Amino acid sequence: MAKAILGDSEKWFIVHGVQDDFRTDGRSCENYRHIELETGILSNTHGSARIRLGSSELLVGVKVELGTPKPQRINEGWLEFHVDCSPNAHPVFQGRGGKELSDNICSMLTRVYRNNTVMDLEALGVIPQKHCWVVHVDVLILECGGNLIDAASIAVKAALYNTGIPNISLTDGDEGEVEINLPDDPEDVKHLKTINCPVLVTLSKIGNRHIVDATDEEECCCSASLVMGVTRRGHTVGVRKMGGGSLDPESVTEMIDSGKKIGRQLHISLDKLLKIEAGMSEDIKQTGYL
Amino acid sequence: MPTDSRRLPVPEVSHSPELFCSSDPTSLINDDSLRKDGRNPEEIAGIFMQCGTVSQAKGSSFCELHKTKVICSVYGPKDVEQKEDFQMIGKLKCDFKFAPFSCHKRRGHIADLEESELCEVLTQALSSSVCLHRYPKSQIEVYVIVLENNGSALAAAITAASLALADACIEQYDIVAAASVRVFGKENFLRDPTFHEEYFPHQLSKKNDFNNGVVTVALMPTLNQVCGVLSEGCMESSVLQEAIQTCTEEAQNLYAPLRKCLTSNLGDINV
Amino acid sequence: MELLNLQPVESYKTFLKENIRPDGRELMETRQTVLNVGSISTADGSALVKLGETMVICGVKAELTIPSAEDPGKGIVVPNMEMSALCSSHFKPGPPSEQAQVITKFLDNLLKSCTVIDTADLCVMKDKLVWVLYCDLICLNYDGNALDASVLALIAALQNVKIPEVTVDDESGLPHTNMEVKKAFATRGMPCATTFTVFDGSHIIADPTLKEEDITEGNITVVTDEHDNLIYVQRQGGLAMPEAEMQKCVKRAVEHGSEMRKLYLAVAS
Repeated sequence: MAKAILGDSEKWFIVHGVQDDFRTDGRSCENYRHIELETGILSNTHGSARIRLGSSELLVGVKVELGTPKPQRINEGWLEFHVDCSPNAHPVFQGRGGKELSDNICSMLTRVYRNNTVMDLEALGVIPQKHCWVVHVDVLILECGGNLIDAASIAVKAALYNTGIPNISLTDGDEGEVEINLPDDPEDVKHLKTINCPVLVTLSKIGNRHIVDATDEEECCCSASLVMGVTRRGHTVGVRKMGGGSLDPESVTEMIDSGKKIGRQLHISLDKLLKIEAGMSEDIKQTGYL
Repeated sequence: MPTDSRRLPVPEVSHSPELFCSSDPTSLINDDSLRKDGRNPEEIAGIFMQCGTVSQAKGSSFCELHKTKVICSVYGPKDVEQKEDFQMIGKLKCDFKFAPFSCHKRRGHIADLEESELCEVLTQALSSSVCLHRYPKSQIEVYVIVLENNGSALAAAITAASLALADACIEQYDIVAAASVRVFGKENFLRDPTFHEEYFPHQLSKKNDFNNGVVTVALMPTLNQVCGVLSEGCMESSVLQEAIQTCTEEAQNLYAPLRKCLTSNLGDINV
Repeated sequence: MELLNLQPVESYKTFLKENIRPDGRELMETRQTVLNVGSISTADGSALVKLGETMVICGVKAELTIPSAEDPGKGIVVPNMEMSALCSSHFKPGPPSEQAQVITKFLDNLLKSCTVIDTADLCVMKDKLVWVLYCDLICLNYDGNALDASVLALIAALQNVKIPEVTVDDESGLPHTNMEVKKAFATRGMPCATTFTVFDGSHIIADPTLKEEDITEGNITVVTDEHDNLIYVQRQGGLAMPEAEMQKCVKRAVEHGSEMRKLYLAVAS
């Protein structure tokens, strides 16, 4: 795991700052850094997004392809996540050095997205038992500046929002086989329903307070954090404790409460941003998105 | 498909017979509010714990929670592998594996995503309890094999691993006890879920997917510190908090049997 | 006991002068064997063997597959031995060790040469559907002689296998299984392995422990069947044995085999 190297006194400075609700970059404990988000930037994908959260930068590309449904879920498609750490982001990512970090992000994203309330997986089915859409979500970490999990989840939601699945039509072919026809117009796509897609909120325990959106220096001072998936309505989908430290049962409760609050705020700004980005805010009102 | 020259060739695809049988999903709780195995929702499963199962290991344990069987052994502290940097704190290396025959669906020999995730959760839960600063430049190896998974395998594995660490005389701040509950609607918390009661997103229709999930908590009982939380499924945060509370209580109750298991083992050595 | 760790060969010699081994056994005596079958409910057949401290578990999973083109009417049985890092500090996690591969190959040869299961019995529909039995063995505690224990575990687990009834729909060609109705296979033969090793070129000892394996050069495994016939002999490592000694081993293997078969029959009933 890529970590900043801090001396003891530097750590104490950060810990004491957090105690007084004043962090080194001037934020309070429950504030996020400035977020820059861009969608639809990679033309050879079905959907993409780039996020810059403070000094962390990630790129997400979504590709859809037809696959065979899993035997136990015959009329559903699925999402597959893949996280890659660019050696440009940190020298330790050379070779297999980024595996731990990318596995953590990948398993957390998989955990919160394999849920029918989050994503309508049946909408990804094409022909039961034969064909379904497989959505490959590739996350590339370009720069590490702390809180990569949250940044990845925001970018994934934005990229999925941006994703268009080709509107295919089915015609009966020879011998009872069904033929799949792709539309001629590449613009002829349907969008995924991302309204319930969660964002991940990481709450890091520093001293006896917890903060959100920790920078890499702050991550150094934190031994235990709680990552939780929060939907727009404030429901939790998947929680996991990260790091080698332990937490008080009471602070777990507090962290869940603030995670829920912050997650909802994050969703409000994200949804607003995505609408503007797509440039079709009126359309959304008509279809009853909000 | 690359072939593994170190194992015998196997058919490329094969399917479990359970795929081809008609099954109708039944409710987890029947009309008398009893679970399939006859337990009350609140009722915990009997747990059996044993130390020193693997005589070759520095420390070992075996845990049985209803039919779930977990064996764990600990080796070390020993030298870290050469290429790694000098570290003033010890390294905890865990390996978590489901035996190929332990689940309803056959498991492969190579760790899948689920196994590596559970392994990571196990490592993080144990690193909060092991006094790693007492073992500079060394590593402690923890191997866990789930022989039969009838639900709550992670909880059983964490408890077994901590017991094995204690059996290996590795210094710990406290023993780690873990428990899980299945959240089923707002009020129902099924303790120590069986495999059938564990949460599988695809088994549920969209309507009742809400407030449904499974929560596992690892706790250091005497210090009252939570060292691991893992949950899946969509639920209200109040329900989640309550589920964590239930798990914490249950893990707290495991302390007495854990202590008994360790002290009875000590008696044998002294005699 | 300390001396046994520091100077194993020397101290072992003094023991053998008295015709006794450090654990109190006679030279040709095997360790106490415990066999427990059917304890894993998720497996279609299972067995746990304790041979002294050595512990091996075998679980069989039955799955449906398409038969190979060469043998369209035959099912498949695949054994696999795992010497996990859990069982001894001799093994590392990762791909199977050399010793595990040797045992896997031995078990495979044994199954093929003495047809414990007739693979034709595993056929559901020729060319279309057959059973594959994955026999996964895991060593849980390694104190020498994993081979004898794994043969015992494998055969006992196969005898314990019960597979669900399968019917194939004539029209759709799709299989349908009935998990309620399960039937056992007819297993033929009860092979039993006995391993010997030679210490210091002159003393033959049966069922070596891990410490004994470390100070000897190799071993000979003799497999006998229920008619006390010799069906398989394997020599491992640089071990030479005079013929007379070999006869002694075979004689002991036959005795040991009939004792072990009592175990098979006891758990089967």
